[in-house]
Amino acid sequence: MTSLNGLVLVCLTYVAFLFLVAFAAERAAARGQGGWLRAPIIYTLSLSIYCTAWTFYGAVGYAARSGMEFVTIYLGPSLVMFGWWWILRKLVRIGRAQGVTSIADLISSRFGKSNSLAIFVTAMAVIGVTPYIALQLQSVTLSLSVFAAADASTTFDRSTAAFWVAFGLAIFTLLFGTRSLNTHERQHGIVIAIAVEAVVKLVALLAVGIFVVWGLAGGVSEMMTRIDTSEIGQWQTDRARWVTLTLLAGIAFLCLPRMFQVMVVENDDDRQLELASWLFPGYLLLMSLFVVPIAVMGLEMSPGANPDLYVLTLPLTLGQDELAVLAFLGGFSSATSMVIVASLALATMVSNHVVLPIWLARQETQAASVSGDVRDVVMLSRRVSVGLIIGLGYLYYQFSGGSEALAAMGLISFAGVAQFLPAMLGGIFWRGASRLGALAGLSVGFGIWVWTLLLPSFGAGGVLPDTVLTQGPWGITWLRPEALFGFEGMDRLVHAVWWSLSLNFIAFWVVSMFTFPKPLERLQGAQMVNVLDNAPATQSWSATAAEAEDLLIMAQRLLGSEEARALFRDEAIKQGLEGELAEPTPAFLQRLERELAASVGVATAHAMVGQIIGGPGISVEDLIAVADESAQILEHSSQLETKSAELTRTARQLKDANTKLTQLSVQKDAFLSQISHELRTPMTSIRAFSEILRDTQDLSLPDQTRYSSIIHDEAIRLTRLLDDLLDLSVLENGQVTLNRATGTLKTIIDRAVQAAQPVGVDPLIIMRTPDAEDIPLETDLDRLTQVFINLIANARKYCNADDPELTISVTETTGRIVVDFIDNGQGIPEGDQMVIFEKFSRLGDNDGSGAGLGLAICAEIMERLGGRISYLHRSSGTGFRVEVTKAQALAAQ
Amino acid sequence: MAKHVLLVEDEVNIIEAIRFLLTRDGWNVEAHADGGTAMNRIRERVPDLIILDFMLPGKNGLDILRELRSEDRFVDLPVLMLTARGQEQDRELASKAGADRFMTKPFSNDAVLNAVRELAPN
Amino acid sequence: MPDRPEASVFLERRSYRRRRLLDGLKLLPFVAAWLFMLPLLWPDGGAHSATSQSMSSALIYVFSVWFVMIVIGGALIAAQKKVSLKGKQDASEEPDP
Repeated sequence: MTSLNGLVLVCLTYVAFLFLVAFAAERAAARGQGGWLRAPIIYTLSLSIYCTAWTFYGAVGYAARSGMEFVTIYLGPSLVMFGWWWILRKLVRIGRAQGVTSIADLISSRFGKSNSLAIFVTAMAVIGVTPYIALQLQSVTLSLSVFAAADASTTFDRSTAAFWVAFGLAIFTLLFGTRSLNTHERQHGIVIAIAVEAVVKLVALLAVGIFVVWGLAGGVSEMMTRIDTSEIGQWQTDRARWVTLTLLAGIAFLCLPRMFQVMVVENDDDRQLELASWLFPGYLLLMSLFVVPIAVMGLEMSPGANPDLYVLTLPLTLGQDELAVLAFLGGFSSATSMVIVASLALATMVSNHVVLPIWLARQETQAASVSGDVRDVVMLSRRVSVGLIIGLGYLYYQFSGGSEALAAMGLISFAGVAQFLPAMLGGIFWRGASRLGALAGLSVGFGIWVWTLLLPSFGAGGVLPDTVLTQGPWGITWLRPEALFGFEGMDRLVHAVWWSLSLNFIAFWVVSMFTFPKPLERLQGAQMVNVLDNAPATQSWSATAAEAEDLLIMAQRLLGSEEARALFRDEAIKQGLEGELAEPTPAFLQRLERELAASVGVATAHAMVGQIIGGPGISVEDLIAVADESAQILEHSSQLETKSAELTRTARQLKDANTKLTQLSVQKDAFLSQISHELRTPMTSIRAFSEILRDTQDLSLPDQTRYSSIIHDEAIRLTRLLDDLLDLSVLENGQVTLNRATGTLKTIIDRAVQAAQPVGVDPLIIMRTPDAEDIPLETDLDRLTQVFINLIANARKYCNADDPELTISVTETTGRIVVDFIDNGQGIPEGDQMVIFEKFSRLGDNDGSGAGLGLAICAEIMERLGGRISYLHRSSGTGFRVEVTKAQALAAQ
Repeated sequence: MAKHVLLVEDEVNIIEAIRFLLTRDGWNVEAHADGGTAMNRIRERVPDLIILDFMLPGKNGLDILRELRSEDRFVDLPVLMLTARGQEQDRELASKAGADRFMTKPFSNDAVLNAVRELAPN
Repeated sequence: MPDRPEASVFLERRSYRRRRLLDGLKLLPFVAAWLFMLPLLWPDGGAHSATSQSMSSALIYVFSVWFVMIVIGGALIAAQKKVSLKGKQDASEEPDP
């Protein structure tokens, strides 16, 4: 028989061994050889903290009492793992992207980095998990008592034992878990210790199972026969419980703080999840494979004994001491790993969401950035929290008297943490989820859980008086804890889970629908819901007033001096800066916040960065809220924007109109003085010479003739000018009536050439291609001729080549007829090409023969006719292009 | 010796008319259509009188007048300005620039002769 | 280039196969849940009921389903990895949403 002292020695040796393993792992990681620590297999094994002492001992007891029902506790998580693609994949991505430290952190971060929500979730988690920790204490104590009962040499007091177990676990946890501050610096030591423990408990349980099936029963078929003839030999299952427990176990698997810790917080990449998605269900299968055989054998061989301890008592009573010690170590492993991770996960939550914010708030009156190292505060608060949580578990164990069956305690815990589900899932899948909705759902669910499950679990007369259980509080029967709304006769657990989760979901949904999330919530919501689309991170910080130095000081206090400097240096290099101080760009601030969040949680990190950036009192929420507090403001401002844009547009239009008017007025003045000039100039000659003719007696005859002809020419010039002016005025006012007629282009050009022909010798040679000109037209033939005359006359007048030549070429394209008039003169200077179609624009020396209205008139005519005239940009010669739309041409056919 | 008048005008017929009038009155008339050449000529040989058209191609009459008055030796040179634009503001511009007389086209021959005689008495 | 269209055919097929494997992965939890809920339909064995399932057959059923699901889950992931690994080597492919 193994003595109790011997057993304690074994335990201590085992713990020492775990320490060694953990220490070695951390050393390896520190040397950068820890890659294997992130292997998917280690991740999978670390998930095994789902299997606690409850599983190890309790499952057998559960099977002995209720048959196959125990298996639902494993089927639920298996289903969740099988469905990793749906939920877990998204959860771990969010966890990695946001640097989430706990489930409370996730929920608070999702709902606008709200610390009140984080505190609420933390409190719920502590209350929900405490029974579970008590359960571990109980199982270790019970297992010790089994050995004590067989060891006459020692007196064994359960209460004292439980205390020492709790004390030992607390020390163990503190030594293991609170050495590193940053939860993102993976806790390699713990992870590897848990992996080892996972193997130990699996091996222990399999060993007992194999011993039972092949050692005691004598083989599989014999075992099956025994099973069928045993008390639990018939398939007998409460269907409601079967469904509810499967569901509940699946939910708890997602929501338990310790599961969240190993599954989401410690996750490095999707590969880990891929392996775990089938390997972990395999682990669970193996863990539960021998549960029924052990239970059946236990029932058969030691009736009356506590079925929760069959795993131990079977080998013990059969003298298999070594196997019993192994089994004990298995149970011990299950309990220790669970307590370590659970208390650490809870301690992180308590420290990040309760202690630090309070400490920060107290510091806020002083300057937060000058006083001591926050790392010490965080570390201390985490250690104290671990102690408190394990202490709470011990108190619960003492208070509940350790009487409850293990499984029932575990399920109460499950139902408690399951209340996180609506807020968590809603948060990551539904952008409409709001903080108030989450708060409402959590409080409703949690309240119902406390009322219908937790309080009654202490037994009638425990916390709730007997009368409340049977008649309801103050005699309100529909509020009876085990028959809400008068639905009696349901299983207590099914009843509690059903009501708490449904009402939780409904409250969450309804309140979310009718509340409007704050801007930060919406930003975070969008980011989390769309995490798989690789959405860019929320640009939380826009202020850049932050002093880089202050930030560095703060970061040093949280991350440690060297790490913080390295971070700043790294960022400075990224920003292309020299030296060690990175610019506090929004991107960097966000990165910094995320790094800090890994140590102190999202909400706290946010607040701390906020203190430095915005100064106390101004949070980004405020900033954003100012900018777009509600959809109404947004809408209103967008309306204002529209209106102001409209006003600007109107003002611009008015200004334009005014400019146009001014321009018109200036143009009118210029036009009038031009007309005046053009009229007065010939008039001057006429008057001067007529006076000369009148007043000069001795004028020679040739002079008389000459002066008379000048008068005559100037009078003609005057008339032509007046004609042109009238013509232009009519054209510009649109009063012109077009006399449409049919003809061919050829005849028009013929007429124009003829009309432009001067009396006498014409030096200008006109080159034509008569074949191409044979195109029928329907248009105002006279007007078109006028344009052509003008162009030919201009060529004659201004072409300064020695042998002036004008080429008239006709091209027919789709929809248009193009007539080009190109001479071999020097062309028009580029600067003047713009103005040649303006009125009175005469270029170069003026021989007085034109008023500069010709081309202006041509342009007007072509516009009336639906065509256009343009200057041809050419390297040599002056060219004008007349385009006539073909619609007119076709109409003639 | 006959007095020298420089006429800056771009209309050939008007040049001919003024040349006829002044030559008969004993003037030596030199005409230029371009302001630039006219300025050069003035510098070469200072005339007794300048008759300046307001609107000229290239450098206009007003610019020539301003340039002229900016040089000390031309400050007192009599200038008769002619314009066909007939706007009141042109008269102001001309007198500000330093024109001694301002006449609107079409003018009467006697008025021109009188103005010339007044500006450059024999 | 003659091998171009061939390559694209392979890529297409691989992408298709990846998607179907992914469908399998997505469906697996529902199939598993469905099979795990089947025992609810078994007659509830009272003491008097001769037709009730024996515990051993229930055990065999539950554990067999469980085991098969694990194998299928593992196989699907392995197959999917193999396909997408090949896909990465051949040509860069859009990851599934």
